[in-house]
Order: sequence, then C-alpha cells, then structure tokens
Amino acid sequence: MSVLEINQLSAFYGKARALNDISIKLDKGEIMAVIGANGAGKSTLLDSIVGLTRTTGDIRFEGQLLNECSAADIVNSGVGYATERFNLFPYMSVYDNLMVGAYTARDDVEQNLELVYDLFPRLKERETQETGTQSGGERQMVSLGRALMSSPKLLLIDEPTIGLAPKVCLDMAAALRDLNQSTSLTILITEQNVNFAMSLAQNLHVLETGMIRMSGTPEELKANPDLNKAYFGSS
Amino acid sequence: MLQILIQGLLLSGLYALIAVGFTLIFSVGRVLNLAYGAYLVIGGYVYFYFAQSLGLPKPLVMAMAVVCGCLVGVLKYRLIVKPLKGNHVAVEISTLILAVVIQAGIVLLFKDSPKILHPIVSGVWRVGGATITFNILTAAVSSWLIFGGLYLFVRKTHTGRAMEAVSMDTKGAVISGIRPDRINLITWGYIWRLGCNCRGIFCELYPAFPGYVGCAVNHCGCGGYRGWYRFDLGYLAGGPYYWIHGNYFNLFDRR
Amino acid sequence: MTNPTKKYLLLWAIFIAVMLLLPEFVSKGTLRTIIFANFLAIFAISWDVLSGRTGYISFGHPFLIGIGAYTSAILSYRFDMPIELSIPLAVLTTTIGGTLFFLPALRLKGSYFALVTLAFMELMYQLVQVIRPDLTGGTRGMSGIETITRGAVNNYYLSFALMVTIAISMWLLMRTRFGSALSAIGMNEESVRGSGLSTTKLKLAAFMTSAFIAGLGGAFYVHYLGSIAPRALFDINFLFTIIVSALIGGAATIIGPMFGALFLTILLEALRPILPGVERYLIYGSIALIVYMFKPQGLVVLVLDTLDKLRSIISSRS
Ligand SMILES: Nc1ncnc2c1ncn2[C@@H]1O[C@H](COP(=O)(O)OP(=O)(O)OP(=O)(O)O)[C@@H](O)[C@H]1O
Ligand SMILES: [Mg+2]
Repeated sequence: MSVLEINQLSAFYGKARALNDISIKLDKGEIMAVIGANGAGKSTLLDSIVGLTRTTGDIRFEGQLLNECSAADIVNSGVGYATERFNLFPYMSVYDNLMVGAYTARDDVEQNLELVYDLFPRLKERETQETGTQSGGERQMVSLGRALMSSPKLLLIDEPTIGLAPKVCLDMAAALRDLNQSTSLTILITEQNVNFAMSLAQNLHVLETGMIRMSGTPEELKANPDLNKAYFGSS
Repeated sequence: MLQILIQGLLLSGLYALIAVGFTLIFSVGRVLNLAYGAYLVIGGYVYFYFAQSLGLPKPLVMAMAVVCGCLVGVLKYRLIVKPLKGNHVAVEISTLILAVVIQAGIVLLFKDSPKILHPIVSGVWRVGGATITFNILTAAVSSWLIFGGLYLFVRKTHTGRAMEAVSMDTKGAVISGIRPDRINLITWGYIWRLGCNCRGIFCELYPAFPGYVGCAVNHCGCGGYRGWYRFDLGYLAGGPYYWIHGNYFNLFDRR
Repeated sequence: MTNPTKKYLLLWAIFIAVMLLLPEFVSKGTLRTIIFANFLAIFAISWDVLSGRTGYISFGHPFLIGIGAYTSAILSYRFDMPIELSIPLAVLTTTIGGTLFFLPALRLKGSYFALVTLAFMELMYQLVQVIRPDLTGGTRGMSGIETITRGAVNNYYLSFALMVTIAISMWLLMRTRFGSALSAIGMNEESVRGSGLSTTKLKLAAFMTSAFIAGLGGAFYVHYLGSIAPRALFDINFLFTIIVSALIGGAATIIGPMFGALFLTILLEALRPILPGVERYLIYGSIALIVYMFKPQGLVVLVLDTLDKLRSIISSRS
C-alpha cells in the first residue's frame, strides 16, 4: 500500500487555480522530489497535503482520505512538515521549538530528541539559543528537527537547500539519506536545486505552473532533452 | 514614606499579574480584549455577593469565582470571538461593547457605590512606622505564587508552549499539530480565572474600571517589545515600574 | 449631473428641511436631546473618517475632543479670550497637537494603533487631573464657561448647522479620490501601497481631518454645555457611544454616523423612564452588540434592505 496517494488534486487561492490535476504516489521508504521554478506551485502542493489550502480531488495518507481533516489532525496522524520559510518561533530556544514539535507525540520525546541531535549535532550545542538569532542553515535544521519531533511516517520538506552553502547541502543530503535508511521514513521534498534533488530522490516530478510536466527516475529525466534545456540551460 | 514604599512593592505583583493576563490574550489571539477590566471587576463582585452578602464560606466562593469566570470566558469566546474570527477590528469593538454592557449590568445589580470588601485575612503587621495588613500581604504572596505558576505553565507544559507558539507563528504552530482555536479557548478561559483570582483578593471595588484597562495597557508597554510575544522574566525587570505604578494607584486612585 | 447625485442632493434637501422645521413641533426637552445627537453625530463622523474608512481603530477620540474642549474652555474661562478666537485656536491645537501625538502611532498596524490610542485617552484623563489643576480645574473640571447662545431653539439651530456643514463637507470630500483611497486602505493597505500611493501620508491626512472635526466639535460642545469635567469626557461610555454610533448606523458612510447618533440618543432617552442611570447601557449595549454581530453594515442598510423586501412583497402581491 502506498503511503501517500494524490489523485487529481487542484488547489485554489480565491478563484485562482494554483495546482491543476496533480496525481502522485509515494511508497513506503521512498524519497520523492518535486522540482519546479518559482511560483510553480511547490509550496502549494505541500500546504495542500496538510490541509492548509482549499482543494478538490483526493489525498490519501495510508489509505485514509485527508480532505476533510484539519491540519492538526493530519499532523497528528503522522505527517511532518518543514516549511520553506521555516515558520519557527523566533523568541523560543532551539529546545523549546523542538518541544513544540513534540506536541502531538509526547510519549516519544526523548527518543526523537536523541534522533534529532544525532542528525544535527550543531543543534545540541545551540540548544538554548533563540532561533530568531540563528543563521539560515541552523534554522533549516531546527525546522527539520521540529517536523521530526512529531514522529512522522511521512516527511514533507519544502526546499531544504534554500540559502544553504554547497557544503552544507551535501551534509543535508547525507542527513536525509541517513534518516531515510535508518528509519525507512518516506520523504517528499520540493526543490529548485535539480542536482540536489536528483542525488537524493528515487523518483521526480517536474512541476510547471501548477501542472506536472514530466516524471521519472533521475536517469530518465537526465536523458530528457526538454528538462536539460529548462534547468541546465543546454541541450 | 516607608508605608508607601512597602505597600507599592506588595501591590506591584498584583498589577503585574493583571497585566500578564491582558498580554497573554493579546499575544496568543492577537486581539485586544477591552473587556478585560470588566472581567477583573466581575471576579470581585462574585466574591462580594456570595461571601459577604450571603455569607458562604470563603474558599468555596473563591472556587465559584474561578469556575464562573472560566465559564463566562469560554462563552464569550464561543459566542463572540469565534464567530467574528479573523476580523480583529470586530472582535475588539465587540469587547468594548461588552465591557460597557458588563459595567452597566454590575451597576444594575449592585448600584453605583464602591463596595468595601472585608479583608480575607485579618490582622496587621508593624514594621518600623509602617503598617502592613495581612490581607495585602496575602494578596502579594498569592499573586507572586500564581505568577510563578503561570511562568512554569507557559514554559514547561505542552499547552503553555503551544500558547506561546501560536502567538509567535500561527502557521508554525498549526503544522506542529496545534489547534489555534483550542489554544485560544484555553487562553480566554484561563485568563478569566487569573482575573478572578486577583480580583478576589483585592480589597476595594469600583464599578467604573476604564482605569484598569489603562493600567493593563501601561504594563504591557513596560514588558517591552518582546513582552508581546513572550511571557518571560522581562516582566519582572519591570519591577521598579510596577512599584511606582502601585504607589501611583495608591495615591491617586481614590475616586 | 448624474442621476444618483441628484437623488442624494434631493434627500439632503428633504432632510435639512425637516430638521429646520423640527423646533415647531417638538418640546424643548426633545430638542435638547437632539442637540446632543447632533454633537454625537459630529464626533461619530470624525471617528468614521479615520477609523471607519481606513480600518485603523481609534480608541482615543475622547482624547482629541478633550484637547479641543479644554483648550477653548481654558482660553475663554481663564484668559478671557473671546470665543471667536478661542474656538479656532482650539481647533488648530487639536489638529496639530493630536497629530504630533499620533504621528508615531500611525506607523503601527491594527491592534497596536488601537492600543496606543486607548493609552492616550487614559493618559489624558490622568494628566488633566494632576497637571496644572489651577487651569484645568482638576477632577472637578470647570463650570460657568461662556456659552455661544442661549435657549434650546438657538442651540439646536447652531448645532444642526455645524453638523450639517461638517457632514456635507465630508460627504463631498469622501467622493474625491482621497476618499476612495482611504476606503481602499481599509480593504487592503498593501495593494494601495503597491499602486504607488503613500499610505502613511493618506492616513496622516485622514487623521488630521478627523482631529480637525473632533476639535471643532469639542470646542463647540464645551461652549454649549458651559462646563467640562474629565470624568464625563474621558469615559469608556462616551468612547463607546461615539464608536457605536458610527458602527450601528453604518461605518464608512456619512448618513450612517448621523443616523446612528440619532438612534442611540433617542434610545437612551426612551430608556430613561425605565432605567435611570448607567444601567441603561446594559440594554443599549446589548442592542448594539446584537446589531453589530448580525448586521455589521449597520442600521441604514438594514432599513433599506427591509424596505426593498417589503416593496418586492407588495409588488408580487399586486
Ligand atoms: N496566499 C496566496 N494567495 C494567492 N496566491 C498565492 C498564494 N500563495 C501562493 N500563491 C500563488 O500560487 C502560485 C504557486 O505558489 P507557490 O508558493 O506554491 O510556488 P512555489 O513553487 O513554492 O514557488 P517558490 O519556489 O518561489 O517558493 C503562485 O503563482 C503564487 O503567486
Ligand atoms: Mg515555495
């Protein structure tokens, strides 16, 4: 059974349609990437999965229909979401931010905290720092850590490499791969950094103005001349 | 002089507590609760009526004030704040109207004149030339205790942290599985309880209260920018300020 | 001239004619009630120009009215200045003084603005009593201030003339691009800024207009009453009455605040035999709350809607 199954999903802001007929399927333990330019609808897609936008179509998580559920219910049922702008709590310490993430998974706090600190040792060093004073990369880690604190079965990450130095990107990729292998966590990321996405994901979708243009494995997409033109500027 | 110094110091805790309640609602729900002053007064009148006029046991009445306070707070959230959701202007104005309605209701029931509440704890304590009533002492100690409890609640419990989280970044809170709605409800109910508590241990009652709203407003300002977002020791740093304010109320607030 | 404008002008004319004839038909007591309604309408229009249009809620209007009233009262009562001079000076002081005070606040958003304005009212209340009580009269205030004219009928005409002049000028002003820009701020400030207008300047202009009217109303009001006291002026009930007049009649219109003021004043008078004191605000406030929760556009719209419905029922019958 697939972990996440999206069928003919459309999302709306007022009358404007930001997503058009999206269908995606993720199996357990899979890493999938959705790539697309600015305004393609990547954030909208992830927002829609956790019920933050007005949508039509089906979203199923472990076979259960999510459409009527509130965001809190969806997170509760095992979807973790690290947003693009992080949405951290700026005047709380790193530790407190992570603890808010544990709101729905209070029994696993210690175990999850250990996992997060193992993954990002830097966070443990900076446990008491307020996130409002942290660097972009550190905040990215807190955001991911907070999503992990809810013991998710599916992790949604919006542009994990945004604003990260190339070296830190590599670390991030390693961390995500680690996580995926050690806990067989299912991960859906969105990216503009095609190289990063291809190095990480088993399957990719290319999103353009709210529609899926191409799909396939990294190899298939690399062989596709259209994609090369659009994202690498050569053919 | 010593009298004023000590009294001000003791009352400052009470004012700080009042201010925190007001700030919490503002930072969590992002709306000014202009009926807050009215809330404070209601707690006092519940105490006045049941304990003093009907002569019910004091601890029971305190509990009643708390319960009835929570109830009214929740009702208000359900009937007014939530239906107007998203429209801050409307909520603020309706709290202003509610303040007027409550005030008029109190005058209708209890008449216009100030009520003297008998001290909950009698006795005085003389230090040098100053006289400190045990009542004020109790009020001070309890408000600092409640204050401390509140601090621990906000900092150490999941619900308390969720309150802070909603105030700082609502989307961040939602994707952490928090229901802002519920947190708002808790805040409104909880604040009622706070208000009633501190009013219940205060000593005099006036039906007119714009001053109390003003005082809450002033205190918030003193908590500073961070104070809007965060319940922290910044409030205590305002100590000298509260102290002056406590005196100020002593000296001038004798209508 | 377009048709709707003609219709509006006709309505204005009818309204003015009815109001001018009113003293022939009603008692002196009723007239005094309506005088208060006229002043209230001025204050409500003043509030509405700023808050009703832009959505920046001012809880500090008594502060502005207070500056106008106190300045004129002090100048004429303590320094024997003629009213013809003290009133313009008071209006000037309110506009400039109010602007100086509120200038920092105008940069604040939403609730913060409301909070600061509320604090101003409270501040003014405390200051008036403590600072220079020899001038302000302290807690007691002042009485025996020179009045402009005597008798209910004269005062009625004076207050009505003032109110109508202000109402019509505001009506004309709000039909200009300035007026529509203010309403646009109320709907979406970002988009107004996006279209290249300085919202701060617009808000400042709205504020100064509002302060001007408040000062004018306050100064005339104090010379009608002949007395002034801080408790009556910087009072939550007074603030409430101003705001609710504008809202219950219909915010962001001119007829709304006028209608609301008349409605509230008459309601308050009608309740007097039943409930003598502040208790009236219980009923008064409840009505306001219910109207506000269920018909936020106000009573004028409610009346028009009901008339429309009646008309359609009647026409479907025949
Ligand atoms: N709250 C909103 N209201 C109206 N339109 C919106 C809103 N949020 C996004 N949009 C529109 O929806 C479309 C998709 O936006 P989205 O944020 O999903 O893009 P994205 O792929 O995440 O872009 P980026 O790489 O810049 O983050 C855009 O055209 C955007 O303007
Ligand atoms: Mg995005």
